[in-house]
Amino acid sequence: MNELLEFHPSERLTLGVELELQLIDHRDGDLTRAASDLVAITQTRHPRMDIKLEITESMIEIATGIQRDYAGVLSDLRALRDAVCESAKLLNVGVCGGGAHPFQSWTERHIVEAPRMNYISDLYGYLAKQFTVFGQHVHVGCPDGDAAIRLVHGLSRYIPHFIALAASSPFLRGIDTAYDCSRMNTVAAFPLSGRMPFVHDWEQFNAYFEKMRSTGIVQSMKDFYWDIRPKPEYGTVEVRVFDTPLSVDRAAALASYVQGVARLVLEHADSAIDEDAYLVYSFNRFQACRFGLRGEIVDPQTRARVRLDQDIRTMVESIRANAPGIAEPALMGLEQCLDRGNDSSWLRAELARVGSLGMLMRASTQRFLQNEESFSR
Amino acid sequence: MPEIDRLMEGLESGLINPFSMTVLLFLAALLSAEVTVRVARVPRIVSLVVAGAAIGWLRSVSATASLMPLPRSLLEVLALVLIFEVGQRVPLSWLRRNPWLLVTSLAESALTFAGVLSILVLTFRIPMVQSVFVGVICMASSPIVVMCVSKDLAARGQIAERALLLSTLSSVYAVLGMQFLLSGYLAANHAELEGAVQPLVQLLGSFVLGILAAGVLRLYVFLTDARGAVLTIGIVCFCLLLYAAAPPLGISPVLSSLFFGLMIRATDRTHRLLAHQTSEAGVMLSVGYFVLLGASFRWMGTAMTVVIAMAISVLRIGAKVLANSLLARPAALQPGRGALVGLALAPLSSLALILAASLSQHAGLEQASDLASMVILMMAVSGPLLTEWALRRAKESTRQSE
Repeated sequence: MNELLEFHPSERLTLGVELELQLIDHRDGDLTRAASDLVAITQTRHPRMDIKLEITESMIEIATGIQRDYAGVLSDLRALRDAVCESAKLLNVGVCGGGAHPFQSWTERHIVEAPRMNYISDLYGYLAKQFTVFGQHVHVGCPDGDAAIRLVHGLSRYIPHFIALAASSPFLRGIDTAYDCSRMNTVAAFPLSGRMPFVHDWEQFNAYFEKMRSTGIVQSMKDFYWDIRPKPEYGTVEVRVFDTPLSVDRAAALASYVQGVARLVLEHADSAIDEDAYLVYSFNRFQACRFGLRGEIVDPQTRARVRLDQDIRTMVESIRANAPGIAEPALMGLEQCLDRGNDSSWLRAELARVGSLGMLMRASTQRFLQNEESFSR
Repeated sequence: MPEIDRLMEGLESGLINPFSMTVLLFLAALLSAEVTVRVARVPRIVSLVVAGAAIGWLRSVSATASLMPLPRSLLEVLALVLIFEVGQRVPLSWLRRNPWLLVTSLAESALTFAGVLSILVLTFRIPMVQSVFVGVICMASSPIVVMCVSKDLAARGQIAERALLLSTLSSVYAVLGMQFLLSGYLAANHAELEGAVQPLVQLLGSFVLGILAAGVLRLYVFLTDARGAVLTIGIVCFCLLLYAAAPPLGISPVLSSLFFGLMIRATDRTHRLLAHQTSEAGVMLSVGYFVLLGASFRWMGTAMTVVIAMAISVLRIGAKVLANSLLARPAALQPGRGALVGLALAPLSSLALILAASLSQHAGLEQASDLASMVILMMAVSGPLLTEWALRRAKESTRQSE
């Protein structure tokens, strides 16, 4: 089969957001098995909403429609959250964000009964159950495949920004990992994770994909677990490095930030794509995962070291100045995150206050229900 | 069984006395149960009940063995401790969020009662009074068994959670229904009209005692900073106090212990007590409980009693499955999974046994007691199997990778 991947064009810079959510047992805060029941009941009550099963029975995925701006994404996410949480109440199940459950045991997870999930489970063995981690995926609309490739390369410079702003997985198996984002280490175990190979345009990408498909390693784009990947069937570029934030408001703000960065990248389409941009990719990514907003990254062009929070502030100002149309409330929300700390900081502070990881999960489910303007630390 | 008697007498002349004999039989029951679990892969609870029943059989066929003290009160205390744990796990606030669960529980209990009553009166021509009492006992399911099977499988999910909630509610209905009926029965026969208000007194009195016990336990934890085994000992002691204090006040120790657990769940904002695991002590409690439960069964009954009991058992399970599957959709579940909840409600155990035993103390209700006891025996053995099957079928067991 030598069928080329066809990139279906979509409206430039439109947004779509997917959130993977945790399903929590109210009794002890551990993950519970409720995805099939929750998806079935929510789809019955809200048939037009995009609510799906994920790899294990302890997680679900919600997805917005195609939106042009922050307000649309936020409205969709709030409606989805309310629908899911309303159904979850009937099942006595809690729903929350966060990139990883702080004390779940992966051996207790059940793979969802579906052909795709069974394929992943057969191929990756125990890694499939360990993949019970929770991420936010942001799709950005692209007019063509070449623009998508350019956008993937352009956004890769800002991967540390995205990781640090969204980081919400400091705890794993009952301990503080010392990372702000431990989820990325779980994803790294997959052989086709990391970054997309360096290609200049859609034609080169198609050639690469065809080579991989001929080896039998991949069947579709879904088999690549890259940090950023083109999604030709949707006509988007998908950013996959975000931990699921603790609130949908933060998720909408992050999507808006990606839109702003993407606009700047596409507006400077004449600048050359340079593979040297990836020299510091892994180092910067590690800094963001380990230290969050306090990490230090190296600018691939100037070779200068800069603190992540400062670099993000600079970018936010740049978006404000050069990318009109990006909602001010979203940018203000991000600045609030820079001032107060990301969700990992909140989780650590909250654990110190409530005293147990079980209670922390209760606090997380309560926070997920709140809109950000009504939430105060 | 003269051979057994000769063996017992021979042993008794040595170091073996009734007390050590009981301990040895208990140990033998435990060993045989573990071997059965490994060889036949049956649930541990079933093995323990059957092994306990073997002790009961030995007591029924051997004059010497019947001298062995069977710690009946120990069984009841163990039941109270486990009922407390049930109360700790039952999310009553779920009923507020999903009122259809309350409707389901009322419907499945009512349908079970009506079904059992009908088959006894219409098919087997059992007198109405006797049939009503059997019907009330059959409404109950055993939350202790449901909880222990769930813990054994480390089950999590809707089937496990709903089965625990519905079995607890059905037990409450059965206790109150039995008290109401007994009051009426006694009033009709002996004109003791004051007995008619007993169910309300039971409910309120148990509630008050439960609140008191929960308050004192929280004070105990506050003062001693008790954790682990010390906390378990405290909980057992408070259950013992309830066991001692409730009956003289005319209050059900079972309901008191249930309210004790429910109050802890409702008021433990820090999850300090809820997070407590009885661990080894809890395992010991449940092992002792199920062996003693098995040993408490009476080995008697005619072939007709067995046939009727089998018919009741099948009908009882059918009624619970039917009600739960019919009301599954409004209660936010798929009908097929609702049926699994109904199946998981099959077990009957100590609570029903206590209710049946209370019948035998009243003249004219012996037949009801015998019939109910036979149904309980059948459900004590087959119930855990059905509960485990339902939980495994629903893929809620996390003990083994499925």
